[in-house]
Amino acid sequence: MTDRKLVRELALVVAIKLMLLTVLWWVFIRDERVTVDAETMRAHAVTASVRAMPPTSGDGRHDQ
Amino acid sequence: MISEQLVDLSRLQFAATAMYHFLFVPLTLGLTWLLVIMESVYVMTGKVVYKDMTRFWGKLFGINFALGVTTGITLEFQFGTNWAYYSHYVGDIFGAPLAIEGLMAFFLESTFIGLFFFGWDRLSRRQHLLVTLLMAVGTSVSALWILVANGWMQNPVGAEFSYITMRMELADFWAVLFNPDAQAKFVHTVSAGYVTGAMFVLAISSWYLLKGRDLEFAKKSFRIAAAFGFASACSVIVLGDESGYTVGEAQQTKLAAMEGMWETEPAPAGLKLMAGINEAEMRNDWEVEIPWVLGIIGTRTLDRELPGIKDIRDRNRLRIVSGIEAVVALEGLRKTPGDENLRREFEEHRADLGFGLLLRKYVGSMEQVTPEIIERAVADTIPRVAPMFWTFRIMVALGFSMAAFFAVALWYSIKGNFASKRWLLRWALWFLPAPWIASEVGWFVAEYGRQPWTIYGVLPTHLSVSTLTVESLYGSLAGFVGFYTLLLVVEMYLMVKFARKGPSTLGTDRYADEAPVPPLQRPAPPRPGVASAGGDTIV
Repeated sequence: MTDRKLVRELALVVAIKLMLLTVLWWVFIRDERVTVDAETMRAHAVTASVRAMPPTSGDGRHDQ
Repeated sequence: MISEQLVDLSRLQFAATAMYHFLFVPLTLGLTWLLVIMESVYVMTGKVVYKDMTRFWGKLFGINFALGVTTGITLEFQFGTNWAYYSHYVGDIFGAPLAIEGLMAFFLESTFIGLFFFGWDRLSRRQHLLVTLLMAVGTSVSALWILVANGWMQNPVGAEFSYITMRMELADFWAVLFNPDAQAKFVHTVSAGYVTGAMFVLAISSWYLLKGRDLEFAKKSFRIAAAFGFASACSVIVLGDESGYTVGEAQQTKLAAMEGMWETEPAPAGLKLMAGINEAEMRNDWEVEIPWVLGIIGTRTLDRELPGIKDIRDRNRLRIVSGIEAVVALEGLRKTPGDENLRREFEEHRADLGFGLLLRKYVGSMEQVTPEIIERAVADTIPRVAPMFWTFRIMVALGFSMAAFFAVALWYSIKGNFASKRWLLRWALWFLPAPWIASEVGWFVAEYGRQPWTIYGVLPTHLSVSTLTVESLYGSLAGFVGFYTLLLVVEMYLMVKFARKGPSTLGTDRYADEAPVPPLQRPAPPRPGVASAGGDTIV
């Protein structure tokens, strides 16, 4: 096998890898918006007076 | 409260992706320096076989790099998604070395990897060697910044908590960079990578020798790998000792768990070779111990005690009680930031804030804390002993056996008769997975032993995770595991394919499976001034 063929194969692997990573990001990560600031951190770590809620989808709201 | 299932799934996902990632990393770390050595010999002697070695092992390095690159990116995804509270709390410090790694080391490494592969006919020999050297430096510097970040998780120096921003803030960058834990981890980890590279070259060369093909190429590769591997394996052991010392200084809980040390023993404590760990009764049913060794490794003295788990638990109980005061004062300060009494109270207990936060696993606020809850939090401060004890011993046993193996390989290499020692060549083949197993269990000891903290003594793991849905975590976990398994299969396929073909893949007509070409008919040397310039000798 020549170097050129190997380079082609590796380029294909990297391209497939990036595509798969994009799919993973698109399906599982894109909508998971978890925004944390000082107040949400306080509520999360110091007291549960503000209850933790499941994350929202795509609208950027906090998960506190 | 955060669901334990959520915490476990987030940890499992991070552990799975990190462990897959680290299948690729040590080989990259080790092979680059072997390439530097091979190419240096080529530049010094002009013998073209060393150039072929650099190109062939460089090709396998390229496959590993291409498959491994971006496997670390998913870890960065996860800091934002699964560990959002962690990222807020410590991102100011933890993010800095990661950013420097990406901007400086990774770009340096990637640029020179490109030049390494495509520069053979464009650069002079010395220029190409410089490229190879900078590629190796970039790889190691990349590891340095990652381990600076990880070292800070083990021993969080150079930072202070701010109750205004509710996060740790960088106070001393140099303290973070020269953190003894980070430095010890860096040298220990890169040396382990060098051992991996050496074992890889040595095992594949042994296979050629067993098959009786490409003999000169395989012998020269074997010799270099044996010498480099022996030096690296000795370094891993010596630097592992240094790592043991830094753990003894900064993470006594981890050391006690690794050693199954339930009681504080008179100094210097003995090192347990093996023991019957009985976690329920907090004792060892039986032990095989070497006197003094642990005390010397852990304290570098003969008279300093190392605390046992029971004493550490007692100490942690006091810190948790003090931590409650810190949390209550913090909550007050958030409401009335100017209150001097609260600030004084907070400053008095600030060092134990993390221990107070451990209680949030069980209660919504500090008013709900009971003595039973405190006891549960105290029990949490010690990681499970049996997995720590045995994985540590697997790593150490593998480390010493590899050092012994490389010593034998080097001995016969110096005597010049290694190629006829078929048992040695088979031993090399069977030992091929050893450095990977040692690295993976080593990381297990480092990370599992840090529990229940993400940042030791500062931020509990259960407060670090994002409140995602369990379903999304199952989905992404399955996706990541599938993705990485696919990469691993492709890597194994390409590596086996090219290793089987051997240096004949270079197309030089000098190796097995190629038609032999008499010396006078060999390809004409390339134009003067480039890496493969005239003046080369064939062997």
